[in-house]
Amino acid sequence: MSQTHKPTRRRFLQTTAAGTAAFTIVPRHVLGRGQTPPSETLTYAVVGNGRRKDAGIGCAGARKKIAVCDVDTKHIGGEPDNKTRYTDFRRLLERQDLDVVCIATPPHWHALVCIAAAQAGKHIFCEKPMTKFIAEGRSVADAVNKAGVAFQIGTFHRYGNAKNKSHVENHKIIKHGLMKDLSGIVAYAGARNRTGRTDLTEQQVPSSLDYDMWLGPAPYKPYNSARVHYSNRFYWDYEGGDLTNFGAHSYDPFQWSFAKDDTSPVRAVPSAPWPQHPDAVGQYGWVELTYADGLKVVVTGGGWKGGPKYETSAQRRMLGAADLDDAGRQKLAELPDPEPMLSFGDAVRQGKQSGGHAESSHRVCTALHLANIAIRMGRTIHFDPVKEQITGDEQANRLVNIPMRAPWHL
Amino acid sequence: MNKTEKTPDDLAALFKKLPAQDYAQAGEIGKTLVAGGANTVRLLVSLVGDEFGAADGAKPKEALHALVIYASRPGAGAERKVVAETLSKELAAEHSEELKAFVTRQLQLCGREEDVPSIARLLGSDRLCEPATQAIVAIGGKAARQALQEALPQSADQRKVTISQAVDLLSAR
Repeated sequence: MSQTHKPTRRRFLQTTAAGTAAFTIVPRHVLGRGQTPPSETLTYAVVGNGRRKDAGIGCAGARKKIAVCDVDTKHIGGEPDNKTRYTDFRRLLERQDLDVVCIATPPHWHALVCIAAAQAGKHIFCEKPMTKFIAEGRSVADAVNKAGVAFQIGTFHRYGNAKNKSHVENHKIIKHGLMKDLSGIVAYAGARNRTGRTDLTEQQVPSSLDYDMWLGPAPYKPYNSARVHYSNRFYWDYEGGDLTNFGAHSYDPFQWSFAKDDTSPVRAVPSAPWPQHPDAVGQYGWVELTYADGLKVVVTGGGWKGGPKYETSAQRRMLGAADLDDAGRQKLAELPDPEPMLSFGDAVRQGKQSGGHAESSHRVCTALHLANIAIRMGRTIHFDPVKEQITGDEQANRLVNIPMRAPWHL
Repeated sequence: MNKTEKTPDDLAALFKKLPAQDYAQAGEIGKTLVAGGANTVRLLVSLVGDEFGAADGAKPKEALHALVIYASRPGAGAERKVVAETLSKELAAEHSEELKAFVTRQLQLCGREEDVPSIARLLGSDRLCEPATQAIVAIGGKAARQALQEALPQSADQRKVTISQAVDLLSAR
């Protein structure tokens, strides 16, 4: 039997959704109000079962958790048995009865687990930020696209914007080119600004933790408890601090509203204390990200007391019909609203993509990574959104695709 | 000693200004560090110290990292060359493996093909093979691929996996 015709659970769900195998489904009316047919219940497993666990997986709808996986056995509720408790995500992904992988590892692992899950035909719910560096996002988006699985990032504010009349109008004006020069517009995306420690000496690795596997693709550095289990996000090797952590929540909805899901900023201008420590994430004030059409999105941190305030002559935050001429307003009125965004659960069941899909998530992360690179360089950087490379600054460009620790690679 | 060379006291005074609170001040710090030349690079490496993560090594680490970034800004080829060349020589000095790993990671940012042979000498070390390989991959090019290919037959276990993966990556570029 060829791979194409292998009767996977995913294909079964898609097929039943299309109605061609409806006779295999127990209809809802047979089960009674509020009951979900077993065939519509998605099975899922959590990779990275520490603090966050499966908090965001509600978007999958009817679901059943069948396993957890973590490199710290304290997080899996007992000894690993490769049935319900795993320490290696690769063994978990071998399961044929698994529909969805919920990825809640530290971000330096997100891309590799996403890619492996896609290749195994599993649908993906991935906590934000999607990636640790820019090239990872391209690889994830390509892997998801190639596998035809659904992907949802763990932030949902764009669903609200897509139902908001002002945001929908703004989206349509830009998406359909009714206004091409957006240089008079500035949007603001807020993030927190916690910092890492610069005095992490070596400590004994706890017996419950497989530190080598926890590090995975990240450079080896001697263990210190501050590096792992949540505070990892304040060290450059594992995440980009709160700028990518909370920035993902605020940047994602703006990116949709301004129809930028398929492109990236062309310039990042930072304002932050310099230098940043090579290991620990430091403070920042703001980063101005500019798109090719002139739109500026300013990511603000708020943690840098006494830093320069962001100043701009741009007055507008959004566009509306009032900004168009008569012909533009006429055209806007004739344009259909965007297709409603599918929830992750509906995307899985219908074999389509959800609202927070891999390409848009990659573009959100790209913008935030560019902001961090500019902060670390202490200078303005320029980016080619098609080649996905920083131009004219070889050193900054080396942070776009960071070599991984073997055997891990994109 | 020329007047731009830095003493430990000079650097201690500079550490108090880190991080700079605006880019004009940052530029001055960068210029001061670069003007110190190779001696300042060596002094900073020694001040980072052999103990990984020691609190008194944090500011020297920050300053050395600042120097690497400032000297590698677009259009600063000669300054970058001095910094990278000096760091490459430090890889052969009597330092702890963790300090050499840190220096290698700085070369991952500022090194060029001419620095590859010095970095490649670390490929035989179980601890330093990984950062050395990553730095060589980041530098890329013919010299990088050749150095890794030459090291491959002498490698074993994890070093073999690391180097062999890097050869594949560079060959695919």
